[in-house]
Amino acid sequence: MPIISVKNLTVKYGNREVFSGVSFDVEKGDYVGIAGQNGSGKTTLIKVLLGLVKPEKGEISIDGISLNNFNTWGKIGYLPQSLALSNPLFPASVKEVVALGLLSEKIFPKRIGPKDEERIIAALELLGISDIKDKLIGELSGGQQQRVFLAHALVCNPEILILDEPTTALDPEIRGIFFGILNKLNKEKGVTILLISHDVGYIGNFAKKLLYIDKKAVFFGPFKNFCDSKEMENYFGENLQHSICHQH
Amino acid sequence: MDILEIIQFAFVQKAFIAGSFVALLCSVLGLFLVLQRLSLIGDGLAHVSFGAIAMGLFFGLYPIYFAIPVVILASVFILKLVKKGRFSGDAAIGIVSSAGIAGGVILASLSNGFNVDLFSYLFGNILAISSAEMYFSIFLSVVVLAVIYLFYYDLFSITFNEDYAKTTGIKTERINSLLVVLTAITVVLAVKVVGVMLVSSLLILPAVTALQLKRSFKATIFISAVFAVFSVIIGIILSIILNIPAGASIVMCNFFVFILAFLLRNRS
Repeated sequence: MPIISVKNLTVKYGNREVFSGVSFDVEKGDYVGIAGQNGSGKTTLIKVLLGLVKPEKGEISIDGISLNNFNTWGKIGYLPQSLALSNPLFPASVKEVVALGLLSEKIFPKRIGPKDEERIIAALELLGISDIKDKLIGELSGGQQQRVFLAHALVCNPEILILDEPTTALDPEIRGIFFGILNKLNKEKGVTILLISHDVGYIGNFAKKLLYIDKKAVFFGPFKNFCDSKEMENYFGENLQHSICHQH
Repeated sequence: MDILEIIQFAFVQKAFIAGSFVALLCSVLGLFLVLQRLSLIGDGLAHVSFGAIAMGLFFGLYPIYFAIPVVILASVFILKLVKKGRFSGDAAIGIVSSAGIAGGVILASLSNGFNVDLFSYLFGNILAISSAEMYFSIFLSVVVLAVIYLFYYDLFSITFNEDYAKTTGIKTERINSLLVVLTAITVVLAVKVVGVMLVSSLLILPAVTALQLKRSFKATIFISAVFAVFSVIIGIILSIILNIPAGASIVMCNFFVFILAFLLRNRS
């Protein structure tokens, strides 16, 4: 049974169709890169998967449960593109931000106890940032903030990790470390990863499968098949396809 | 008259107690509102409370008790305008608050008899608070603070980032509605302390003062509460010593504490 199943998904913003007829299945332990040009609907697709945007039509199930009835949000960790802090003075410590990731498994009245504190520290240690646990989130660099938000996404040991261009604001060195952590989570802990990037070639370095969106699902399958596909060659042109697959 | 003499008076003690509870409530709630850029909802609901108080006086009912359900309804109406009517938040607040003020002015002109009473609600009169009003303020403050405590993490989460909060299963619309309803109750209670015209200052000033000191969220709430209660106590004492209106005195104390914190932050 696929851990994520999307069937015939169509999304509209008002009268504008973002994409239509998108279908794909993600198996447990998959590492799927989601690519497409700006405005192709990548971010909208994951917002639909997270229940943040209502689709026009189509069916989504997560772990066999229809998205409408899905309520075990602790199974999904989410890292937005760049969680722009609207107020750099926002008074939240790193520990407090990561603690918010545990709310998905809490029931009313939600409380963070000593055992939760241990999990928060463990998540920060995993990402090598336990030394900044008491700093304010607004005082951190972009790279540090992104790692804190990844800790937020990981703190409740999710089975699925959804990331939206997580490394855009990071320098190459931190970017490498970041992808190394994701690889480790995928290989050692079997975490299913869905990662959006506008850079198809770069995704190929890590992802096992590729979903290419351009108002519809242009391609879904193993990255190797993308490179060997005559259909994709016709779609992208031989040079561009070669360039993408050469990076990979 | 020295300070020890002032605090012996029963009316001053009642003002200290009721004012401190309301200030505590405003400071805690105010931090969520300021960080969500909803500061002006306090101002808008205060204007509605002016209309509701005028209505209460017009019908011969106790204005504060009458105003609470009316302002709660107005807060729900603002939410509906934003959600169903697709108005922006500030436009929705503007629509409802202007109707509140206009309604109050019309009722005041229809009944010449209560203009003086209405004026006292415009600028507050904490020193004239009765025992029943004090107990009522304490009771509602404790209830609202208990609700904030129970929903603390939900409120913190939607304040940090609403989309993020949704992905952890928080029903953000419900929590936003709760925040607005709690604000409605708080605003009506604060009208008695500083008046319709100055309510938003009790919600905004302690919160923005605490934000200057850059601490964790919990610490910021605590600091905001300390500043708010401090300003109420000092404001009331100064109002008696200098023979100035208590509401304005409390707000000016809050303002000067903010200026000090602001200068301190920029210096460091």
